[in-house]
Amino acid sequence: MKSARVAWSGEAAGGDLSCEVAPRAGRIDAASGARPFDATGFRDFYQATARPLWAYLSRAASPDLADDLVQEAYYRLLRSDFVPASDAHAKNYLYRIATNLMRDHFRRAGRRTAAGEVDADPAPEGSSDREPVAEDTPGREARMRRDVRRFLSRLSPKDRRLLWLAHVEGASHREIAEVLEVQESSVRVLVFRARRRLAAMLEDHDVGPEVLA
Amino acid sequence: MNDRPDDLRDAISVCEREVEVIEAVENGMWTPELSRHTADCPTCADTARVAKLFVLEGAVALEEAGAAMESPRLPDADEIWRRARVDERRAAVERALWPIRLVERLAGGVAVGVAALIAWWGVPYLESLLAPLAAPVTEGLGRMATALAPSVSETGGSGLPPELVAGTMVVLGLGLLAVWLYRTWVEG
Repeated sequence: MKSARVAWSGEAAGGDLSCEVAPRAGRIDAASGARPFDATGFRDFYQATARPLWAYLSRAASPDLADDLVQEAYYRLLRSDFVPASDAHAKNYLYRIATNLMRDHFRRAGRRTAAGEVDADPAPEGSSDREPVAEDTPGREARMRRDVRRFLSRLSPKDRRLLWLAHVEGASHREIAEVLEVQESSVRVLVFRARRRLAAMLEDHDVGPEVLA
Repeated sequence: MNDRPDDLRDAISVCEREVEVIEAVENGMWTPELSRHTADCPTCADTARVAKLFVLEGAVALEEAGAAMESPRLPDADEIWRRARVDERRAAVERALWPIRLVERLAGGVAVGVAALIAWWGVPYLESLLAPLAAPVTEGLGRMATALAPSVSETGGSGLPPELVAGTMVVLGLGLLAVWLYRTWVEG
């Protein structure tokens, strides 16, 4: 899983987001007002961040919505006045844009339909009928994978985002606070409670590493 | 901490070995001691269960993301870059042309207003100037006005004189022509 974790600024810049990393030569020039990326820099950034961003959005929202939101998030990043101190800083801002786009989408979806007909915080699409593993794949792990999406769907969208950023992205509390626009001091409690809620579901279904068998 | 109610203490209790547990879940390297601790510590047991779920689901999601990136559903970076640059240029042009468009609209409004004023105040003056030549002209204008607005002539003078109406229309037409010429000049 470590190889799937994408480096955040906490790992890339010594763990301190407040330490401004000097911009790479030719990429950022605040004095001249140059945009944060050139074409090559943006391509590199996209290559490094698009997959994990899509993965985050597909689980926090849905795969179909992830397709749209990924494009829109990068577009808005390019059109914004934000000048990042580093690629990790830009990634943080990108995730924040994507999270806000997701929230706006669900808010609009909730307003467009009649009251009570739409869950403004829907579960990931396909969560009830997806079969991530072929039925002939043996073992406890295969059974766990089949149930994983169902468990995630029972979480609130906020809990899904929190836990995904904490566990899959390896984001620090400060980074989570910036992406989700919550107080940094409350992230620890929020993550703890979200984890507790999910763990309670998993415990009921005997899901966990072999050490807990 | 000891004087906090139990539920709040539980809500924020963490174990210093959580990070070890997460790493063990990810790389599968469990020591017997850590295994025993995880089984006994409620916080670490929760952490282990949740970490395990996300190890599995994270890998699946990244695999799907790879397939999505390869598919035509998602544009590549260059396409997004180009779209952003085109829209940025378009927005910059709009910002640059905004004062010109404003002046253009004001000029059009002024032209129409001036034409109306001229029509309202200037016609008697023009009539006196053109009186020697007026007969054939006014007769022609009168016929034109009558053809365009027969109800005016039929009311026997209860409305504006037909010459005035026709003259106003001519002046307004000249004003609109001036506006059109100005727009053409600006865009050219």
